[in-house]
Amino acid sequence: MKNSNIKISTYIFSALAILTLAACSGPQVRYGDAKAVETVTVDYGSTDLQSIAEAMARSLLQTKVISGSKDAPTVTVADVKNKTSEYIDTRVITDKIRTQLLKSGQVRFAVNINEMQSQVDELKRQNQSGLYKNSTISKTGNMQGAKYRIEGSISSIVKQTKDVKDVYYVFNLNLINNETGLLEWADEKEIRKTATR
Amino acid sequence: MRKNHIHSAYLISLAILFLSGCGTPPLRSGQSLLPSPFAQKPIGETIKEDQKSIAVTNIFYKKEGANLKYVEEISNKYDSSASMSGSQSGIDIPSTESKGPDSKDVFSDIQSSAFPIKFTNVSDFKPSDHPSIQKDLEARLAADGIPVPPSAPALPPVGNISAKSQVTKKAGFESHPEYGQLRSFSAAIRGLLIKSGYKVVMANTAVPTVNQGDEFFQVVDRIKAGEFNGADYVMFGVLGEMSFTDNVEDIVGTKSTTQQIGLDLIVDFSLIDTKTYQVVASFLAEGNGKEIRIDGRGNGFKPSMAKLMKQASVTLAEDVAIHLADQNFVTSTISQPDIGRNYKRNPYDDDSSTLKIYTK
Repeated sequence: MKNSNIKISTYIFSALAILTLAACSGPQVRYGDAKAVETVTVDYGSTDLQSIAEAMARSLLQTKVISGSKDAPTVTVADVKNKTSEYIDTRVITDKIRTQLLKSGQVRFAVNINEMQSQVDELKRQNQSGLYKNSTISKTGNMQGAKYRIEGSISSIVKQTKDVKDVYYVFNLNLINNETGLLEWADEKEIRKTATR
Repeated sequence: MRKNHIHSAYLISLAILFLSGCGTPPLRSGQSLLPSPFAQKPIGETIKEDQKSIAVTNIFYKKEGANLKYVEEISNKYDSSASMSGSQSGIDIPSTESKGPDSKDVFSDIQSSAFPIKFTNVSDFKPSDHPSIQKDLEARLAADGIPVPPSAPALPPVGNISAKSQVTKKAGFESHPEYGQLRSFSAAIRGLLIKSGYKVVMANTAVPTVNQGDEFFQVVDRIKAGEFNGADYVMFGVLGEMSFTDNVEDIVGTKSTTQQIGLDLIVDFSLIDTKTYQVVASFLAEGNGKEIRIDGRGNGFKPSMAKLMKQASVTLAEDVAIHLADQNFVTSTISQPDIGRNYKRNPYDDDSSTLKIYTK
């Protein structure tokens, strides 16, 4: 009888310990597929970013300016304006497009305006500090100017009823010849997302 | 049987000989399969065999200075038929086209002439018609202690003699032409022609004479006088313009500025056949030296004139080479160096088994 009581109390104690431990542990973490379709809300998300970047990079590489060029044209990335009501980091989109274009080997990128300060600081350090061996210095005045620039915008139209929310995004990208000012290429990517209760 | 062996050995050795004949000859020492930054076929190759000679003169120039000058003439007339006159040279007003202080550094390496002033382009000018100039003139005369003559001073009558005095004021530009040679910019051109296979003959230095005029540029007379040591061609350059620039510009997207100091020169070149005096090639070549300093203004940065001159000289020679090829003085063309050419690359290997590190 006494033994059975001890057994019961041991079981209860173990069960309580397990419950306590389970209560103390954090949320369960697992890795997911970064390219999996994300449909948590109708707001701009990772799937939109990926589909825009992929579509634009593919289209840009097929243009004659790039595919028909003997050498890899030099390009710089200018602003992509966010004309939506949401906060969208447009630099992530252009960075993603730039990465895909660079990986193709068909295009070379010059530093853009946001990266200029670090470029200038580095040139100043090498050329004007007097610390570096002359033959190893990256000399001032030899930066390559970009032949083309990429700029664009993202806009949205949002319609909402009690039960339905519809968001339409349009991403527009242009390739402009810096010397002539001519628009050499333009493409757009449309995305429609609808959420119903 | 043995005959067959000998025959086949003979055939094999013949085949080997043929094959070795078709093979690429081995590279000589110093020969590379990679493309040279400049054309593999140097300019002047077509005339290399008979080694035509060329003389490259120093770069000639004429520097014009002009000063505005007033001349006053006072003449007194007496009715006893006696008359006296005298002239009083007045004020020099320096022209506005004065050179900057740095210009001395370049023109210090020259062989130039200092010539008497030539008073040219004098037009009758009455300062009294221009009150501001009249006022300025009188002020300058007063400052120099020269009494300001009245427009028609009346001399007191002496006995029976009556006198009239007349003051004439004239103004005009007096020019100071100065002829000379710039010696620091032709060496790179000579070097380039030597590399291209020419035999370069040293041209005699042209020394300006007193009262030198524009005949200083008469290269044909010089050829006739045998100043170029029998060269087949003479490359004659005259400085068109030389300018120094010093500008400060903001770098967009940064807090920095660049100070850009430049030396630019334009030279008018003529290449003359010394036998026929035919101009074989003629062009304007440009040379420029540039020194760029980030945030240079305000830090007491002083540019190196020597560096600017060297850069200008080298770029001038490169431009000369391009123009000589353009005008078919030589049949082969000069290609620009491949430096900065962006070749297309193969796409990155996207095999997931390979380690890729992309850094920002």
